[in-house]
Amino acid sequence: MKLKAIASESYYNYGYQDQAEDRLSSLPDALLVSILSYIDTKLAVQCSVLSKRWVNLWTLIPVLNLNLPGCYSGYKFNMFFSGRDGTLIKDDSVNLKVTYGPLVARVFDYALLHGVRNVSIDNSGCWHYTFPCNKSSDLLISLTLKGWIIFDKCLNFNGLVSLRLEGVFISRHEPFSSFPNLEELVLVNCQLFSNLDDFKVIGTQLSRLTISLCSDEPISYNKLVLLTPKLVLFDLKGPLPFSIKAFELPVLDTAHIDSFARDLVHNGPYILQQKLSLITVLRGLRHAINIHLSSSTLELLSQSHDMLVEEHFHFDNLKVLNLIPPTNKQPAADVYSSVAADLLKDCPQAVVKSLLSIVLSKRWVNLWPLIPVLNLDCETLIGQLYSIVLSKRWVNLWPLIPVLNLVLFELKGLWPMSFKALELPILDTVHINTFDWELLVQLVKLRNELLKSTQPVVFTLSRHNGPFAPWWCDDARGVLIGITQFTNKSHIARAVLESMCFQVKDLLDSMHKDAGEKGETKNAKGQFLLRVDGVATVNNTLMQIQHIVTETTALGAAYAAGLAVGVWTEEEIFSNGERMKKDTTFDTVLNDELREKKVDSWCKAVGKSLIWLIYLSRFLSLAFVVLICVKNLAYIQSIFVLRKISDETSYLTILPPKIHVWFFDPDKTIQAPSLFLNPLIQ
Amino acid sequence: MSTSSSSSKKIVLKSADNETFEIDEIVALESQAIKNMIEDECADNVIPLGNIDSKTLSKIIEYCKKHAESPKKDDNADIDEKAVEDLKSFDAEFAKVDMPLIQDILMAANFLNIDNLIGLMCRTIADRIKGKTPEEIRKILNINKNDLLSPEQEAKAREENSWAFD
Repeated sequence: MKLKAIASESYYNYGYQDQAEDRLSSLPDALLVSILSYIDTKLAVQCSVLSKRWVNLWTLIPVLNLNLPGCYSGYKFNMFFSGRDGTLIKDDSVNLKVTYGPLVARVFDYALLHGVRNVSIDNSGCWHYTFPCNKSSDLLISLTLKGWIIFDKCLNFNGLVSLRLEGVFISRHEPFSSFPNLEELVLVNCQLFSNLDDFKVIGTQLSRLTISLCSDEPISYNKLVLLTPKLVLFDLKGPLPFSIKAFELPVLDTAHIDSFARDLVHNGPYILQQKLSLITVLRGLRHAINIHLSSSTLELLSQSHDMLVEEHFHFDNLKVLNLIPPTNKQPAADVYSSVAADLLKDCPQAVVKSLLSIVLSKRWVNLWPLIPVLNLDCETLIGQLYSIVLSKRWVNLWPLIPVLNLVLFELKGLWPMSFKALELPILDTVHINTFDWELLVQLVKLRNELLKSTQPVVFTLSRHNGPFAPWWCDDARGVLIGITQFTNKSHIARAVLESMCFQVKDLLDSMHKDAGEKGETKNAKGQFLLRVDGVATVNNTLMQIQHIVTETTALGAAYAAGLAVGVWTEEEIFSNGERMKKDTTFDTVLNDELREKKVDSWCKAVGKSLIWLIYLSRFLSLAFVVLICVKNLAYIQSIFVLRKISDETSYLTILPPKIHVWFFDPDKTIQAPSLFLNPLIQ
Repeated sequence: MSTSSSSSKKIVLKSADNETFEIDEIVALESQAIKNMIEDECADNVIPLGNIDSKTLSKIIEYCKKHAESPKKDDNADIDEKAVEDLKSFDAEFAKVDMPLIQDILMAANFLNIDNLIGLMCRTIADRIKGKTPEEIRKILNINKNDLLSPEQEAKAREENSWAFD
């Protein structure tokens, strides 16, 4: 009767209303079970009295969250398992929180028997409990042990992939060799029995290892031995062991080192030991690609400069050295730079990468000017980067630079390397102004690394020929540089077309200066009309480019020049109706900003290549120069006139062998097409 | 190219009370059910959702939008952390609604097959019944009174699992 009273009380007191619909109960079992999976299993069992719908749901829960603080009477609890045993459900996870040792064994037995894949046991009781070491299972995938548990050698768990031990006492010095497929091992605040001197981690499949000690006890092991050939991620936190012996870690990708050394002020034997250990650890990381060093580690390193000087770390694959700044105070820039310089003195390829990672992490933005080490050998480059690190908005913009301006650059050993590492994905133009021949050779060697873009663009093609030309240089007529392996005939042709248009643009500009606006023809919209004529004008692409660069509307034939100097009158030109009918009008497709940018880069390139050519002409025995003579706009068929400057000219293979280039000689008639096959002769 | 054209593509959903919602395809893809429809090219016209009312549907769209916008993993770790944090607080805020709506959303999410949302709603319900007695749970979940156990059955259930009712 009492139970009935409870039922009816709940019935009325909690205000059931007829109109309220019980939608939840209409949901499929799977959803209700997943709700129950999130709560304590005890409560889930209590839910069996909610209604008929819920009576047996608890038996289906795939995740058991058992929080058993006291001593449960075995009999009662066995009922729970027998209730579940009836329903052949495949258990997924068991999360157990107990304070009573024997219960662990009971539940663990149950879990193994039922092929549970994930087990987590939290023993926060007050006595040690030895983890059952006489079991074996192939189905267990993930195991987490936490609290006062003694971890002894287990029998084989062949399927175990992930093992996490927190605050566990480890009683053997190589406890993990019985898990042949272990891939992830996390040890947090584990302690070794004091009689163990060394601690071995043996795992042939182990790829992620985290050892983290935050305990106040300074040292909990003396020697750490890693036999983990497949280790990819290594995370070491806390006091470093006195000695680390790591066998080759050939595929190590990322290492985090956070030496948790306190009391750095007391430079006692302990700190000295830690410094030595740290250096040993770093030696073991020689194959790592990314190394992250915490601020406390850096502090330790900065105090061991005298030791680092003698040390040679050969980080073969290192790309990123991340020096994590402290969270609570402004880092001292010179500390970081000296540490970086010490660590990287034998691996220059890492410098720029580490620099970049520093630039790219937001916290470093304002520290940038403080770091002298980054100014190693490429001042100009750094200068450019520096100007870009203006604000957060700008941080990530610089890799997008399409044009690289290298002004009066001198080769100082390192910079082509750093260039290589820059990875400017959309770089398509390089302006170089240098008097260093070796630099050019290096640049040619590096051209493929420099220009990774899938749409390679010929650097810059400039012509300096012809009277009236704004850029007048009587011995140089053109230069074709920056051709990559991806460059083909069409790129070169395009570059030629563009160069013609740019030159016309230059001519027009200078005419404009002379004549002002009086010679211009404008259409109804007030746009400047450029009338073009000649064989070249059959090329629509050329006309479109011409239009783009000169901001004109180009009509069929070029009379603008003639009009401007008064050779013809307008009537003469336009009286021919037939001619007008064939006209084609090209209209704008490019915005002003982009056009101006292009024109600007043209002017720069021409200016710089003038100097460049003069320079090259002094080194004719080495130089390879492509001279391009487009005598006038009408003579478009002869695009390339290549002339040997001297008989001893060695051709740099700027052009890949597959590209056919037509050879012309200005003094003779057309010769057969030829190939550049000569490799770089040095 | 393909991303720009697909992101601009719109999907129109129609709720039970005949309200239409136009959403970006990328938002709709959060729902496995709609994704399948799109893949089978059955989503050209309006998609009628006869068992979801407009209040629930707008709530679900709000959720999908947020989750579609937020960057997926494998990006810069810096950004990732913040985005995860942001999404967490959004989820927490999103779940602060009354129980009938939660149940509606859960049903709809189940119908539309939005895994994350199902998980979120199940967790929310679980959080609300944590530490409550069966009677309180009955009220919270609005259990159908016609379906209650008879006193004898309830006594039996309690007896069988007496360890849980200590």
